[in-house]
Amino acid sequence: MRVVGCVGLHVPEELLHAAGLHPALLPESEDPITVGADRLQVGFCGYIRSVVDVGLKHKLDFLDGMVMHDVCMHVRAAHGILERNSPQVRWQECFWFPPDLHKPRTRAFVVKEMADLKHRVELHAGGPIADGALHNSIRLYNRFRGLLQRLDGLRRSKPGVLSASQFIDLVQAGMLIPKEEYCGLLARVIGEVEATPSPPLRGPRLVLSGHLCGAPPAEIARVLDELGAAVVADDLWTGSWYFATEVPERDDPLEGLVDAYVHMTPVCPTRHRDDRDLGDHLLEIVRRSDASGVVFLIMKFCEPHYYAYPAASKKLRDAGIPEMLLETERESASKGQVETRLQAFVEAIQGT
Amino acid sequence: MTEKGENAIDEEQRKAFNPMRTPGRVGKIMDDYFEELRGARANGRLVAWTFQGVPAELLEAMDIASIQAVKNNGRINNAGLAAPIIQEAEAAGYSENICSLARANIGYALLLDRGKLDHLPERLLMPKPDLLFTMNDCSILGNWAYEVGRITGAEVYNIQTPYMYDKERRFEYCLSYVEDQLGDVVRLLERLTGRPFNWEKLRDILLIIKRSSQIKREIHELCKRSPSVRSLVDSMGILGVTWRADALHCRPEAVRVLEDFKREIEERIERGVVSVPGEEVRLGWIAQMPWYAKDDVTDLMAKNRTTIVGCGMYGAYFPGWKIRDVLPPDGIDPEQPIKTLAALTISHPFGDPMEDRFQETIVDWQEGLQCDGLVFASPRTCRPFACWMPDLKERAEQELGMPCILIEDDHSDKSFYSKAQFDTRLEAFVESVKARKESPKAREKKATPT
Repeated sequence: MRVVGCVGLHVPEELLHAAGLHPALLPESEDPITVGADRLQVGFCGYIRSVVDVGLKHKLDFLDGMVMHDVCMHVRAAHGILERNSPQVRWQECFWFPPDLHKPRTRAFVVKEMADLKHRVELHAGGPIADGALHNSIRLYNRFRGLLQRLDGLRRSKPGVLSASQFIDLVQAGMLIPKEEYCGLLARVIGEVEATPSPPLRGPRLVLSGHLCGAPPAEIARVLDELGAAVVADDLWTGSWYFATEVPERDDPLEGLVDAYVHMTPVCPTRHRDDRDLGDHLLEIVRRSDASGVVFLIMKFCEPHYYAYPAASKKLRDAGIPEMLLETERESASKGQVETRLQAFVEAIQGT
Repeated sequence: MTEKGENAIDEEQRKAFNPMRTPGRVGKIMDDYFEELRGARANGRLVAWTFQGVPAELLEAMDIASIQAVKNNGRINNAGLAAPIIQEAEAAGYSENICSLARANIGYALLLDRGKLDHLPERLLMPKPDLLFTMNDCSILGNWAYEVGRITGAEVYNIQTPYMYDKERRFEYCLSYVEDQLGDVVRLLERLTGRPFNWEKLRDILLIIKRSSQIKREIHELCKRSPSVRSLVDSMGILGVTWRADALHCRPEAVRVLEDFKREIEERIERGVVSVPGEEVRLGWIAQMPWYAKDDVTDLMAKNRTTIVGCGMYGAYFPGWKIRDVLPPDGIDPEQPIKTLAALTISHPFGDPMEDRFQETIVDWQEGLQCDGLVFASPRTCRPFACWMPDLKERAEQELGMPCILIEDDHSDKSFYSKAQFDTRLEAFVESVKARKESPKAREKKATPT
């Protein structure tokens, strides 16, 4: 299996899959950052520092390649560093799509860049990507997305049937395990969940939002589960972002991938659109899932998210929706503090 | 113990630094321009805040009063009045970890929107914008501008500037993409002003930019001498007028300042006046010098007979030069204004991959400047500047054989700056550079003709 590590949001994995490669979204490593600290200063986000660190430790040498979407300066930094210092990963690509999704010219440029990316993938894979293969990959990925959407619906209708940790783990596993195999596993999970009666609801219905590029620290979901809070929806990268946007099936499959980017469902803080903002998006999620509150999770030093947060949180507060912010960090995160703050939030919602 | 602490230098030592005179003019020019800016609306003109290296030439051609938002930050910071502004942004939920320039500008916008800028004297006031003109070679510039737009109600135009990896393959269509966007900007400005675009004025402005860029290159050549007649402090002192991306650099005044700067350098050469008498060490500075640390930089130079000869952001300082192959002979063709401005926009160093940045801002820039060492100043909240610094430093050490040091600071947030660390580390670095210069190996190399 030729595994290609993917970094950065909105990588069109279907292109890689159709080329016979296995795209795997690189997770944040548990390794303490050591050698990476020599190349990337502390003001860069923990996820990118982790990717750079494991790359420099040669733990990514098994990869057949890496593809990075230049969504922010942090990813750009990682691409440059690894390209120079990890030549063992011989194929390292990056691509750039315009962040302003609403502009008329964006689509045409993405068409060009997507075609260019496809060409480079073909060169590496050693053969052309036939339209038929790309159609099949898109259908497979859409099937995968559909299954996760069903699971998402189940946690909404049966709050607590899946813990917050379990749902994040299921999505994250899907970022790594080949979709052909994973769809079968997901179908079994769905069957089991459908057969499981709704547990009694012990705590509030919550939405988790944020944490671009990497999964939130495990203790956050664990604490929420222990407090009895039911995460009934999310706006997480290792959550609904990964399955919310179906790729439309067009005669030209590349056009479908372009449309999926330009019309993506999540409101990504690294992108801009003029029809709705993060606050609008979260209000929709809250209403659709009958949630009682939102927990914003921002990875420390994730700049795009920092900019999006103030207006989004204000919109929620103005709508009477309780919200809180947890800034997560790799180093020196106080687990006790996280627990206390979440407990206070949950109790405050329950008290109202 | 003096106010500045144990490492303070005495007046005699401070005299061992000869600042240039020309930068002293810039304050008045800036004050006059800000007055014009504040009166713009009353005179029927629109106001634009600009960011990064946008083609503000387009705005000036349409008589829109433009100002680089960060220049206002700088003036407020220099006056020691930035704290309430930054606190306002942080109180509104903007993290202390975002770009400090953005934080200051957002804070300013918030206070402006609420009419709460009473703590600022009039000369430091910047009027509310009608337009925010930005580009995204730094990925958060769009976020920043859209937030300010949300606060002020101003229209935002964010030029989508591609990351310029693999230029050979992508340059032409990326250039074409930005040219098309600039065409959209022209139509936007016509709509906002209700007037047809003034192409003739734009050509005249490009002639000014062309001349400015030429003088900058001539100055750079003149400064390739030891001991140095100009220091980083002098170069930064005229940036307010000569840095791209607002009206100031589009006007004949910018050319006059540059001509005066050049003339002063020529006079100093003739009279044997140098920046640091008895210069023993020459350092290059990679990234911005934090303006609040200007005195510390000056003291470092004076106390250690060290000249910081300038700052490596080559292409950004000599607009057009790196695209001279695209638009010969110097990258600025007034007869192809949109192509020129598009090429300038996508050639900003932040949009370049590591190899290009190394070549342009370090290798090409320092050639001939006879630097004994390089200081990499990594700003905590500016990821584009901080990006790749450890690797660039390592390459400079390995490929140029140049001793280098990496220090952390921030371009405008003093909480990330430590004077003690600055003094201690840089003085130690200077000492090590001196020792290296005096080593038998270095002496032998110097004595051996090449």
